[in-house]
Amino acid sequence: MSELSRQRSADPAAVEMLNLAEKEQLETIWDRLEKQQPQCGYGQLGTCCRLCTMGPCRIDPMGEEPTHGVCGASADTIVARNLARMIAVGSSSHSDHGRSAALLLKAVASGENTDYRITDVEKLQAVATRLEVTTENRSYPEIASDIADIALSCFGKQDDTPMPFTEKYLLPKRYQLFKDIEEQLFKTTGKKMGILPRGIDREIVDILHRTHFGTDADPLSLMVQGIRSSIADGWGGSLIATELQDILYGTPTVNTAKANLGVLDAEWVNIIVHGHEPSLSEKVVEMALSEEMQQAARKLGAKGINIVGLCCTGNEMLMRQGVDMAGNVLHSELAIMTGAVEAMVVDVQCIYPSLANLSNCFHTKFITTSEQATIPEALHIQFEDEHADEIARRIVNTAIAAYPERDQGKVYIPNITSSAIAGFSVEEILKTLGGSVAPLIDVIAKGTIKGVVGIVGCNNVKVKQDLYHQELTKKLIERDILVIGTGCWAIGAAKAGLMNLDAQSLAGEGLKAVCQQLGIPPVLNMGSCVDCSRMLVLAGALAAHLDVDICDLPLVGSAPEWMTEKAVAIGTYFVSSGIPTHLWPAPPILGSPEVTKILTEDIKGLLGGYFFIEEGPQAAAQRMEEIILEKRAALGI
Amino acid sequence: MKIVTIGTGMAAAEFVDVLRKEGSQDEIVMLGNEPFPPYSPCVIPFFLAGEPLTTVYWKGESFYRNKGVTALLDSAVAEVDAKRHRVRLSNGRTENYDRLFFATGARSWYPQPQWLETNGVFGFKTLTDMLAIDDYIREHATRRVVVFGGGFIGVDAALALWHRGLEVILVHRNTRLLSQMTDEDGGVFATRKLREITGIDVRLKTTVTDIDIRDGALRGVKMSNGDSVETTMLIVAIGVSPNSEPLVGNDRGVVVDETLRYDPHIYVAGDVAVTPHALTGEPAIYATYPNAMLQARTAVRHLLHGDATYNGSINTNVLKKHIDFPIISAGTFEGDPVTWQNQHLFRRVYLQNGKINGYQLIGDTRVSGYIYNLYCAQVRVDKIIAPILADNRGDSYYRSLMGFNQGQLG
Amino acid sequence: MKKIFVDYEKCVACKACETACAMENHPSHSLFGLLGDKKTQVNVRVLAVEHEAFPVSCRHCEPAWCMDACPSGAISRDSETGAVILNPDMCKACAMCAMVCPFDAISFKETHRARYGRDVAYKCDLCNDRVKNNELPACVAACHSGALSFREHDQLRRDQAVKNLRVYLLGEEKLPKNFELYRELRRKEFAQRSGEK
Repeated sequence: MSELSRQRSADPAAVEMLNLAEKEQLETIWDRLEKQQPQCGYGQLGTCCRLCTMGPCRIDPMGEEPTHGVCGASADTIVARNLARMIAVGSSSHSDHGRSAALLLKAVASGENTDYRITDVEKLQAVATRLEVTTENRSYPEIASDIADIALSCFGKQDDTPMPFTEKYLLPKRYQLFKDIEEQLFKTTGKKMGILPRGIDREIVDILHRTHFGTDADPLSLMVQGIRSSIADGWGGSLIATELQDILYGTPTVNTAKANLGVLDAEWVNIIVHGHEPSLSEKVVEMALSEEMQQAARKLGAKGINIVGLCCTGNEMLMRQGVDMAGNVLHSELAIMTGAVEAMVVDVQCIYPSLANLSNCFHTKFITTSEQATIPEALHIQFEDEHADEIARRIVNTAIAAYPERDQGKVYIPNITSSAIAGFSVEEILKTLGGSVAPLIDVIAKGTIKGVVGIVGCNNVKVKQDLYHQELTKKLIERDILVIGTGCWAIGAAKAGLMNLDAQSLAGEGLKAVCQQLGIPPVLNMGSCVDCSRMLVLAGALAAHLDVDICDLPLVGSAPEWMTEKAVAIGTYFVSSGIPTHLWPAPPILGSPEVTKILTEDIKGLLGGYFFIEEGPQAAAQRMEEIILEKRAALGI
Repeated sequence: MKIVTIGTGMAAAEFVDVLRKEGSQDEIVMLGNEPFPPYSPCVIPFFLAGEPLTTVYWKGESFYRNKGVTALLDSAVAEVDAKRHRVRLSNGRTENYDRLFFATGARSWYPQPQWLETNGVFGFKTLTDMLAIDDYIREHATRRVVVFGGGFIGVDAALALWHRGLEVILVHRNTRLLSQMTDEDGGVFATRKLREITGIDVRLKTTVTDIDIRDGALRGVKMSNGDSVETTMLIVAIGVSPNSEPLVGNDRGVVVDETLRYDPHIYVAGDVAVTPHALTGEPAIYATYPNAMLQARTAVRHLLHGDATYNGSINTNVLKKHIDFPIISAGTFEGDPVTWQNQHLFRRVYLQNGKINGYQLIGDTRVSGYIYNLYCAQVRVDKIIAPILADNRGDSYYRSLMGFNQGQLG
Repeated sequence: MKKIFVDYEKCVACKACETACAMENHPSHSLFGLLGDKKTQVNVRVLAVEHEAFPVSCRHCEPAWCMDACPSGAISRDSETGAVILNPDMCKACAMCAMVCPFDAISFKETHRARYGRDVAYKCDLCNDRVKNNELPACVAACHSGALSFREHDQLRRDQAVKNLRVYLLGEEKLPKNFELYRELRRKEFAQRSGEK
């Protein structure tokens, strides 16, 4: 039985829990993948069109009839429309997250909300400076209010000028390149195609409109709009989320925590926060750690309350509060199966609906909180920013009340954790470097570090959990390539022990020396997946310092176990920002030779970035090193 | 040429059917001791459960007419005079033959034959039994039945009467039901599941020792454990014996040669024939329908063309009646057991020299066909059998076909 | 006699065959009619074997072991089409047929054809009525990708011989490049999943 578990995850704690699941006949996401086999090839190829009720239509992948949908859409059109919609959904999820942060900042600034406050005034001033908001002789709330207004205007403004966050944060060279490409496209095709986003909501709605029945059928303009929407996310919505959350909750600083299921404690009330947005979990953590609540837990015989994170909410808490991390998204079911979790509190995104019914096999309260993410069979406690303290208290009390219901006979917690250093915001990296990117550029120029690869998460049940994350990361640092990243990758790397100082020994000589000198691990956690914006900002800072474009830098992006539409948006804004980006598994585009060619070849000439697919960590690392060496050669270093 | 069959059972009906299909114009006489067209004994319990009587006539109600056969029914055979090529019936009539097809089948064996004289006590083997039971239940509005015997026929009887809506008490002397089809683990598993699914009151390690009669009718039974049960109906199904006396003078079956002949003019087939096992050579009565079919067809081929040989019998059987819970069994349970089971299924094969020697598959039929083939082919499976037994998707045959477990093949 | 042939390399696992079969065998003959109907009979299923997928159903074997094993006279062969047909009115669901079928092509449940309020055996009937009307079996008619065909066995062999020569001489008949790539990536994904790197 352990053979199957070992095939499913590279994480020993997961293997232990999968063995238990098999013994207790608890269904897991891996079992459901088996039950879904075989999965439809039209969907995997991207050539299934469900956009109108004359369909659904499918295009024969052998090149025979039917070659077109009922309306006449070709495989290229169908794939491009489907992909554009994926980008729109991905952009909207991260950006909507940004919108919440902006609305909250506005409410705090205006005094309407007193449950939250402005925590990081240094960041407030830095953002204000970037956005050219006057700070002199103004109160923090006044400044914050202006910042929130600018952020909100990025969502809702209706004129055709580029939105302010993109304009102010994007590297000027890249900004100019986008303008040039817009002109060039118009010149060569006679069609108006825009790359610089006008507004976040607008670019997403634009995709929904142009992919409506009988609207845009041109793969190129569909892809260009996809790029525009992704930029509205990476240099817009996601960036707003990161920057404004830093103001509200503090910019992450270096800290050390434990990662993996062993952070759960059989003698404590265990609460897991899972999802993506920190507004709720910040409060739940604060409340859970209060003496009042700890005492309430002790009264019921527990040693206290142990609050831990999972998935990207976990990353947010780890980065800012040093909260221990139970695992990445594939751990979400396994955590409940420990039988030791009183409550799993979730907000939005990447919450398996299966968690509700699974929780009902245990005493675990599975608590949904967002009006955008309710799940049948879950306990819903409606979260509202303006009553955050009161609601967080209810949630923690609910968890405590569940503790006496726990069946200690069902408790099984793998005794496995790794220690991990986290908190590498751009600000913190600069601080480590002594205040400037210069030392980093210096070691890159010397070749001590060959380049940087930014990896972003997801676990995808089609890939052995964390294996690709771990192997690729190890193979890169071995080659003296610094690895930074976010999301479920970061958690995978933390669990594998790649984010503590011992991991320096796995790095090549050059990288090892640099890390030793700076006292950092060779693998840096930059936050949750919305924080991929931090990687863009860092890339921009490096390029600005050298006075080159981002596409000239020895940088590569990767999403080796991706599954969500958010990852499609992230990948696209990486590529749009000039970063060659690796994907595994392959996205649903192979049904269109045209779209495949645009994204893997043609786009390189326009934006400098492009997608490539590699199924193995060895080959992927090899290819990434080649790309980095190619870029270095072009820079003459 | 005059061809006579003793018996109108499945072997005899198939024999006649195939003879005619092969173009035989010979005179055919069929002798039967019941007044019916050929019927399927496997099917008759469903009549008790309320299904139409016509469906038991597996080759049609007008079989004798359609096949141009003289049927002498209701006439038991007393003796076969092999020297004179003559059959003597119990009513004194005789019938000469050029070729005799001896397929008399088997009958219930009763420890206390006198019990049958009591109104309410029945065997469970023939259509005559079924009709009598049906009449009795109608007349007496019977609510409860005791079935004595938990072998294949006893369980079949219990399930049919349960299907009909009766309260069933099933009494069996062994530690588990179906003790000949199963080993201890498999039988215990099957017994538990049958109890769970049907709610039948199964009493193991118990026998019916006596019956309680009032006014010539059954009122109850006494059991070996001292219990008494009030009941107006008892089914006795504790064993069968072959009807071989008319030919060989004893009830040990008729041993035949490889052409299925007892003598140059007499073919023997079905539940009375002692044949070798196709894989082990072990001679015995292998009383299943597919063996009877193959024997009947082999006999026809030999009779018409003179060159057929019978390669032996396979002892596979399945009990899946009235509920969707099949119990499949084959071969002998000797060798190294390999088992896979979960809450609902129990699968076990016995390996000898890496080959399947016997198996039980309880709960579903998913892998049964593939395992049956591996068993018949007698190929080495020791390296591949574990995942096949665990197969719940029905892909193991296709996996091996496409070479996905080639690496594991010895 | 014509049979259904499967070219598994061309199967996209869309399961259109399963849906078409279910509709063909449902009294309503409509997709919406069979929704949520547990009596719906599907005689073909798209089976996944590692990265490959292909439809499997009754092969209408000659000789047919199921037919030889059936003790209730429920299974027969149509002399015109060669289809092995199961008559649910005679079937007692005794599983003798399923016990010997190596293709797991016979299943049991209470279908719309079951008359006695209990389960019966059911299997592919080669869409016998359609075939007699010179129509294709429903699954073959529904197959978009050319994985299923209905043809004479001998004809298929002749065609393949000609095709092989043409492939040999002219390099024709390859799968499209992107589709080959798709198949290759699928193979790698599954190899990875089962632990091979």
